[in-house]
Amino acid sequence: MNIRDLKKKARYYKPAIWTDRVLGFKFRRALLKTISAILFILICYYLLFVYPEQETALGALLVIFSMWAPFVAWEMFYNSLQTKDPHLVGLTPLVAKTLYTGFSRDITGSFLSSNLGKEILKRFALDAREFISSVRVKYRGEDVFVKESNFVDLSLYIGSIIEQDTTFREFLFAHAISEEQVLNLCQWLERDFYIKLAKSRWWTRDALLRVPSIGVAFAYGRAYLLEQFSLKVEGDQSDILFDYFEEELDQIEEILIRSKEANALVVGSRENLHMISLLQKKIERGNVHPQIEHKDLFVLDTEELISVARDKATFEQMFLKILKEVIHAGNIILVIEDLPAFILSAQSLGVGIVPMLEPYLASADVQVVAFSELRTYQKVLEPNEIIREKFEELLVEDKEKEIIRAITENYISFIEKNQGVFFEYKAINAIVMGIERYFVRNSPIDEVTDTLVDLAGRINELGKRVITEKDVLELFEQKTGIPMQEANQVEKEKLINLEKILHQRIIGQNDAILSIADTLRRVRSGISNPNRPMGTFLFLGPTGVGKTETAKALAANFFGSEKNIKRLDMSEFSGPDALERLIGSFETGQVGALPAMLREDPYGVLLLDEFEKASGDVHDLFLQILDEGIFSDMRGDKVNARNILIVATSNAGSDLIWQYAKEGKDVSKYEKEIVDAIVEKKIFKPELVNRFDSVVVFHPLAREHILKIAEIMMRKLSERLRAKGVEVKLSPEALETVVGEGVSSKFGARELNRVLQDRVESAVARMMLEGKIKKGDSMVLRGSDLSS
Amino acid sequence: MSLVSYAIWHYGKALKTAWSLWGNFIAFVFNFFSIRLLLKTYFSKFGRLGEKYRGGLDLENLLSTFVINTLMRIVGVLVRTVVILTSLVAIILVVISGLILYVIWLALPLVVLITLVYGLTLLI
Repeated sequence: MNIRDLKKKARYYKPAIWTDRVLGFKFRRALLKTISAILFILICYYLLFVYPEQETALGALLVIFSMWAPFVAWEMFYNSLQTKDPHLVGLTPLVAKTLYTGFSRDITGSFLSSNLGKEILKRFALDAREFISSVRVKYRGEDVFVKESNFVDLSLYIGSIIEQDTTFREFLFAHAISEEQVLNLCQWLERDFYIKLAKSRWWTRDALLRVPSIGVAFAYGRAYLLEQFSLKVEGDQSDILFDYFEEELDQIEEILIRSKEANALVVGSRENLHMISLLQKKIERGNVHPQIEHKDLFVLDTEELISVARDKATFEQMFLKILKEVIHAGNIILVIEDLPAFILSAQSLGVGIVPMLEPYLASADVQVVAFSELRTYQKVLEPNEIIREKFEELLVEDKEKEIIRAITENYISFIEKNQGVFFEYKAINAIVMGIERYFVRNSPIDEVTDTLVDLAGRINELGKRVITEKDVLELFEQKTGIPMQEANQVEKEKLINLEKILHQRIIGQNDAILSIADTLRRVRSGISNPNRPMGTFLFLGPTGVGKTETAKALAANFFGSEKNIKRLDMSEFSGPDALERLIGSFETGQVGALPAMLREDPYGVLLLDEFEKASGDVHDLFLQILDEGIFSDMRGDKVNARNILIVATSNAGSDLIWQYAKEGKDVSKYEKEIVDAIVEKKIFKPELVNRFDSVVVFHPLAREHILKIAEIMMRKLSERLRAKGVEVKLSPEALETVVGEGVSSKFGARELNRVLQDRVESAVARMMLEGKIKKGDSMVLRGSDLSS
Repeated sequence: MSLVSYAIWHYGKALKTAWSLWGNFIAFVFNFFSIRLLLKTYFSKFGRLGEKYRGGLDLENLLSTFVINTLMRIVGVLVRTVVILTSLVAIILVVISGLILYVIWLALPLVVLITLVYGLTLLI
C-alpha cells in the first residue's frame, strides 16, 4: 500500500485534524474551561440571588449555554475519533495528522515540517531546514510504500520513509542517528500520546472505579499494630508497567483466590517488587475475583519490627498479634518484600518464622505475597518443606532492561511538563544505558527518578532548558567517578600510543602488550559490549615475567593511578568455603571480599593472582562475571563489575612455555597449544578460558630483556640515592653480576629488584662508612664493589 | 464533510456510548458506596469492633460482651442503612439526570437553537 492509499484511510480522523488546525488543542481546553466556569457562575447566580423576572440574567445564561453545549458535543466527537481502536481504522491518529500536513509532492519534507516531525528533529538536536529546501529526489505519496497494510503506526510509517528515501537516510547517518533510534523515539511519542489521552478521560469505568469507596471502612476492621509496622500500598498511577507483568499478576490473582494456602512466592530480580503497586491497582480497578475485591496490600517492615522487638518473646508476641489483626481486619493481603532476609534476621533473635507462620499460611484467612531473589531462594527457601508446601512459587524472568526504558520515558514526560525542561533523545538513551550499566544495586525506579530530578535541577540552576547527552554523562561521571565522555585529546593520544607507554615499564612481551592495547582502544571508543566487564584478560606465563607489572602499568596509565588496582590472591580462595569468602556468607552475614572491593570503588583493574588456584565454585562464579559483568552477593544484591578490567594471572602451562622458549620458538604463536594443555590438565574449564576477551601468553625473559629490566630498576634506585646526595651508577659488569644472582628459572625476574637493592645499597652504605664516598660524590660501582 | 460525520456520530455511536457512560456512572455509585459489600455485611459489627467471648461461665462477662456486640451490630445496621439509602438517592439522581441528558442530546440542535434565540430575545 502506498502513502496515497493510506491517506484515504486517514479521512476518518479528518474532523479531528481540522479541529486542531482551526483551534489548537490546549487553547480549546482553556476556552472550554472558561466558558464552563462562566456558565456555572451564571447558574449559581440565577438560582440563588435572582428573581425569575430578571430576564437579563436568564438571557445571558441561555446564550452561554447555547455556545457551551455544541462546544462540549464537538469535543466529545473529537475525543471519540481519537480513542477509536486504531486497528479498526487502519492507522493511528498521529500518522493521520502527519499525512495531512504539508504537501503531498514531498512526503519526507512534509513530515519534517509537521509538528511531530519538528519534535523528533528537536529531540535529536537537528536542524533540517537546509535539508528540506535542498535539491534532492523528492518522493510523492504514490512512490512510498508501507510494508504492512492492515495497521500503520508512527514507527512503521516513518520506517517506510527512511527505508525508501535514500537522501533522508544519508542525512540521518551523517548526523550519527540510526534508524532504530528514530523508530524508538516514534514508538515513545505514540505511547506517550495514548497515555495522556487515557489520563484525560475521567469518565471511563476504569477511572471512575479508582475513586476509593466509603462503605469499606464499615465492613472491615483496622489493624493498628500492623499499620505501625507496615506501609499501605498505593495503587500504581501509571499504566506503563502493566504490560510487563500482566501474566504474572493474573497468576498471583489465581493463587490469592484459593480457599486455603492462598500465598504467592515470587522468585526473581528486584524489579518484581513493582508488582506490589500494580496488584493494588488491579484490585482498585475492580476487575478482580470477588475474593480479593476491596483488599488492601500492606508491606511489612520486617527490619523495623525486629529492631523494635529486640528479644524473642516480644517479637513473637508482636508478630502473632499482627497476624491476628490481619485475620480480624478481613481485607488485608500481607506483603513480605524479602522473605529469606526476614527468616534469617528473625533467626538471629532465635525465632523460627516459618513454624510460626505455618498455621496462618495454611488457613483461608491470611493471604501472603512474598518475594525472594533466586540465589537466596535456592539457599534458604527451597530446602524448607513448609515453604514449598504453603506457598505457590512463581519464577519471574528478568525484565530490567525493558522496565528501565519504560519508566524513564514515562517519567521524562512528567518532568518535562512540570519542570519546563526538554530532554534530547541521546540524553534519554544515555540515562537508560547508564542506569543499566552503573547503578545495578537499587531499584531502577528510584535510580531513574533520582537521576531525572537531579538533572532537571542542575539544568534549571544553570538557566538552561535543554538536557543533552553531555549533561547526563557529566552527572554520571560525578556520581561514579568513571570517565564516560568521549576521550579528550590527551587521552586519545595516550590510547594511540598505549603500547609505547606500557613498554616504558614492561620489557619484551610485545604480543601481550599489543593485544591489551587493542582491547583498551576498543573499550574507550565505545564499541565494546556495555553489558560485560570493560576488558577481561588471562595472562599466562612463568613467574616473574611481567604479568603483575603489566596489570599495574594498566592501572597507572588507563585509570590514572596504580592505586586503582584491586588485587585478590586467589590461592586464598581454594578451600571449601572459598565462594563464601569471596561473595559473603548469607548465614553469618559476613560480607565477601569481592563485593566489598567493587562497591567501594567499581572502577579500575581487578587483578586475580594465581587464578588457577581458586576453587571450582569460584571459577564458576567468574564464568558469570566474565559473561555478564554482574553477579549477586550473599544477600542477592547485584554487584556491578562492568566498569573494571579483569586481569587473571596464572603460571599454569609454564612448563610448556619454557619448553617452547628453550626450543627457540615464539611462544605467543603457540597460545592454542598452551591453552589446550591447560584444559587437558583440567586446570581451567574450556568455557572459562573462552570467556576471556583475550588470553595473553607471556614468554620467559631472555637475557637482554632482563638486562634492560635491571637497568630500569637501577635507574629508579639511583634516583632514590640521589635524593640522599649520592650519585651511583653500575658498570656493565656489575649489572651482569646482579642479573646473574637475581634471575632464576623458577622466579623469573621477581628476585631481581630485591637483589639489586640489597647488593647496591649495602655496598653504598659500606663505602660511605669506610669514607670512600661522601655526600655529593658520584661513582660507578664495579663488580668487585658488590661482592660482600 | 466534517459536519456530516458529526451528525452520523451524534445520532449513531454517541447514543450507544451514552448507554455505556450511564452504566459507568451507576457502577461508580455502586462502588463508591460499596453497596454490595454493605448488603453482604448488613448485620456485621461496625468496623468489626466488639469483644470476644472468653471461655468459662462468667455470667457478667458473657452479658457485657453480648451487649457490646449487639450494640456494635445495631450501630453497624444503622450506619449501613443510612449509606444504602443515600446511595439509592444517588442512583435515582444518576438515572433521572441520565434520562434528561439523553433527551437533551437527542434534541440538541433544536435545544441550542431555542436557547440561543430565546436567550437573545431576553437580552435585547
